[in-house]
Amino acid sequence: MNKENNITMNELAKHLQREQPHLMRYACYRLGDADNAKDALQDAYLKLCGKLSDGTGKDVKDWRNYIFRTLSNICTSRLSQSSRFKTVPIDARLDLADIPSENNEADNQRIVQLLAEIPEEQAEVIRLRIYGNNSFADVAEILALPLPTVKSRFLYGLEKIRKAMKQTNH
Amino acid sequence: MNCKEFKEKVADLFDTTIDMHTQAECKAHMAECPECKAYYEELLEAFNALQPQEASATPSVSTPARKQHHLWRPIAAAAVFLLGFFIGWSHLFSTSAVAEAPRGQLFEQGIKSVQNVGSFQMAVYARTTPNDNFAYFAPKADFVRIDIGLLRQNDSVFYRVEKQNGRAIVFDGQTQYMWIPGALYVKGPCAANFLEHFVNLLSPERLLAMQKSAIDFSKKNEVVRTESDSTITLTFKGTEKNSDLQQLLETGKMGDCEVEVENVFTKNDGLLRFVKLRVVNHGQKTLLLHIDNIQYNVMMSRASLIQIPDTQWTDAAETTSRTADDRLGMLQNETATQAAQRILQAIISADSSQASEALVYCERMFPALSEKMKGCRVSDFKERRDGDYIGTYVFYTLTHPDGRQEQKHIAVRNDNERHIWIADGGL
Repeated sequence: MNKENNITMNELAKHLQREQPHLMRYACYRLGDADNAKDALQDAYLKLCGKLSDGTGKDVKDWRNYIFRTLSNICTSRLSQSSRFKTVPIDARLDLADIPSENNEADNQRIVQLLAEIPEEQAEVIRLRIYGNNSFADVAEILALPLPTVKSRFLYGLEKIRKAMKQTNH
Repeated sequence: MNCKEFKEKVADLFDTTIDMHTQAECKAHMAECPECKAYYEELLEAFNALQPQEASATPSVSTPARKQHHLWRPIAAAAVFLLGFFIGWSHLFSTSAVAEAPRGQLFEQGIKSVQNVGSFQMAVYARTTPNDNFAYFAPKADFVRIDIGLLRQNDSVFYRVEKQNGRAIVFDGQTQYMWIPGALYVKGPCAANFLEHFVNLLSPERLLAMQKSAIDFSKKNEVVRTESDSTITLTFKGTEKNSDLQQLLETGKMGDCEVEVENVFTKNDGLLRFVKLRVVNHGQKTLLLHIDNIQYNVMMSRASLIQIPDTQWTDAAETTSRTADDRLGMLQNETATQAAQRILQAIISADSSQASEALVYCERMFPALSEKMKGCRVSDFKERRDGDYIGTYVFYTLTHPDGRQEQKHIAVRNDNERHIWIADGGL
């Protein structure tokens, strides 16, 4: 590996280390559990290393957004392979925002259930914004969408979640 | 701004960085349009519901349904740390400067910058209840919005701290006023310290100095710097206690509680904008409070800031100063159990003079309490101390006129200037 690739590998490693909490959290809420999220993150890392090895890494301008985009695509792929699109049976719709949590897994599931109330495209924007800690502009770049579309999906998603919370509280 | 424009811009209020002009416009519109304000609050409720709670801590006092007065002093103290980070970091944005700066020095610039802030406004979302003391946090509680505004003019400080639909405190430069709408209206001098630990939110220099001290004190207290394109984040993790922290916590103890604070600064102006405070207790993490945007040097009307309800105020200082020396001696020598007995007897017999000092914060509620406990008897008193609460819980059996019995408790504390027991909860 030449010196240029070495430098880029270092940059990649720094970005991954820095963003790991956000990446992990995003993947957890996308895939529904921590083990799957770890695997996805590992797959993303391997894919990115491969990109550097074949020399195409120097074309990447924003590594942070590229990492999120890669992880997002890997999560999509995993979900479609396992057909694990999140559905919540009607009788399992408890007080979605009020399920008392006693451990991380329960809280993860609480949030996954909240996000299952809305279309996946809106949930994806919310996940990237809140758990990935990306700005709307970053989310637009990651998803290759216009900025107004990202903001609309975010708002519509929150509106639907709020509506679902109201319905389960009555 | 009209409603259509508001709906086009409201999403910006949930971005990682918020344009001050947009925020001011939206806020002004919401002040005039209840529908848009309600819309925003609904969005915010959903946004808050999506925040990871991560875990809840185990309550340390197992008692009946009546809510506990867990003064989560370490949490409140740490909450205060963050809010002290009103700093300009522009000179620290270069990587080499940050890499070379000693850990504690990261806060020094902040201390200097804070001293120059003329005013600030922020909305804190904390897990608490609307009517409880400001120092009270509960990991299982919902988020309550607390609006804080502070103004420095000449050599005076004016502030307002207000829980949504709940307790509020105003300081007009000389007198503190504390009220719960319809239930409590009390005033006192600056030394009355109605805010308790929450007062540290209004002394950011002190908070930064304490945090710097914590960092310098022990390498087990960490600060980690991370960076994105538009922000710099300092994450503070504190476990080791030093004398400054102990002083901040007064006589409380931190126990095994670790505090993790995420402070996000915008790069373009170096100001602290977002804060998340998590408590790590026995390996479980809980998001206890977050602040989504802090505004600095905002135009503020002093008159609006220190406006108080037009009502009869109980003067906390007068109530205790009227106590004669011999009575004071008696009150100071009481145990918590004796004080609790006297307070409850005063309520049962509808004679507040028996416990006027202890019931200073409950004066308005006294008639209703007396009516409720008329004809009752109290017995079987037992004290219990909890490391997280500075006062004492006194448990007792309440026997109703019809013979029905209940196990209840009253919280009392004597950490005031005169060291006399005062009812702090449970009634």
